[in-house]
Amino acid sequence: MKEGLTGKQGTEQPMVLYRVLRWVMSIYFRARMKIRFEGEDNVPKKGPFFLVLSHQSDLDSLLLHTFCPRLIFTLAKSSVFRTRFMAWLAPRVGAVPTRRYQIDPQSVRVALRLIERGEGVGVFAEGERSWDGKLQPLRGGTIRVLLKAGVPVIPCGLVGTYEILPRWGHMNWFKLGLGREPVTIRYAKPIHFGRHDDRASRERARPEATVRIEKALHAVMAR
Amino acid sequence: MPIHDMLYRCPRCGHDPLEGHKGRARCSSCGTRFEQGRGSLITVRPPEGLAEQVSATSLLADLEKMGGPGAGKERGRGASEHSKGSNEDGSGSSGEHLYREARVSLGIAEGHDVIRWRGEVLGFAERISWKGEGLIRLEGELLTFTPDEHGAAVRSRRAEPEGRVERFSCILADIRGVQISSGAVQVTLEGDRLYQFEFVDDSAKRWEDLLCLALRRLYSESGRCVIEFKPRVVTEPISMKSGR
Repeated sequence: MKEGLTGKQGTEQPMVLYRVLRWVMSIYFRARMKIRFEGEDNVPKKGPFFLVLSHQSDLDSLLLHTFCPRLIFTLAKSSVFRTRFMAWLAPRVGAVPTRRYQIDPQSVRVALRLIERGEGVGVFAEGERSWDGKLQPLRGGTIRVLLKAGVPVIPCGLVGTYEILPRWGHMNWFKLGLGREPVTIRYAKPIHFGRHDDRASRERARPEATVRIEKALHAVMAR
Repeated sequence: MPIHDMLYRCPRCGHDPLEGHKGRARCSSCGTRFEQGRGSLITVRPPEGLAEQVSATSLLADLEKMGGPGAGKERGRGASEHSKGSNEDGSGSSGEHLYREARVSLGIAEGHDVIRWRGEVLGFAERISWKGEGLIRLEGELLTFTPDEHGAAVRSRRAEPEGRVERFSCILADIRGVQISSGAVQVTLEGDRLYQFEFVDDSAKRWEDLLCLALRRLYSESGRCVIEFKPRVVTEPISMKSGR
């Protein structure tokens, strides 16, 4: 029987389509943008981690899935999965649906199972793209999940994507990146919060964890 | 999302709304044009004089200075609204009384699709049924949707409505969450009922900002401040916020 996305620990998922698309998209993006990487060594070669990202553009998740040193799974809004094609494709390239209009325990369950399997999971802690390129307040629920998991948290900033395709901009794949604009994908050093199994402990740790992650995100988003 | 969704009012003269398409917008009052410029800059072309490149942050700050989503010179809706404390042209705010209405296509989440991969349930995607067009109105603490009488098709989708919906209204205190998704405003009511509003000729961002402002005002009356609007409206006593 096939193992699911969150199957047993140690069972390597081939994710063939994901790997092929990473290769294809890396050629496309390198042709269109000047991409720099900083702090890639901060992403562990093995073992689970959460990548906490700033969200400024539709390009963020594409670039992350293409260039992250490890295959990464990210939580994506459920409306992305509404068409048959996307419902088929998105899980094959590491996207996990999350309903943003309500608390979605299933997406939390899947994220924690992926972490248990030793995978890297990316979350956009602001919950939506920024209108003006500035960091927005981080969602309390996301911080709780990070504290519950107790694995290293790596803040990651994608600098320059807002300049190429801001939220209010119009997406044109043919014109995208024609000016070879620079994009920097920057990983901060992992933050260790420890594991907070009970709710009271998570609530106590949440304000400080939020401040630390916000500070680290501001640092990786610096131009 | 088009540029006039973000700049829902002219940042130069305050005229409301801006007209536009995709990466271009124009103020029909002062004639200033706004275009997506290089990078994240917006090219502002006044009818006379030189064009300048301005950041979105600066233009958004100008809108905020003009009173944000709850103020401005807006479209008229007739004399009946004037007595309700709105601007001369029928919308805006007067003191604590927020008022605005707009044409929308209404979608309601009816069930969900299960997203599986290799036999495992990864999650769920809501199934939106489009119920036709009508008028959404925010008036004080009441949000009302009135469907068109003849069940007009959903213009943006060129589709016939899937079933009819009666006029409904809710008080702001019943709203559990507010957010924008794919250019539409989603409002979650009690029981996780999701209503999705696609605006025919108004800005989704303005309506999100407006509903958030209305909720902030509502909760501040009971000494609470809103710290999150999505996925849930979360409040805390104002004293806690100021104590931090």
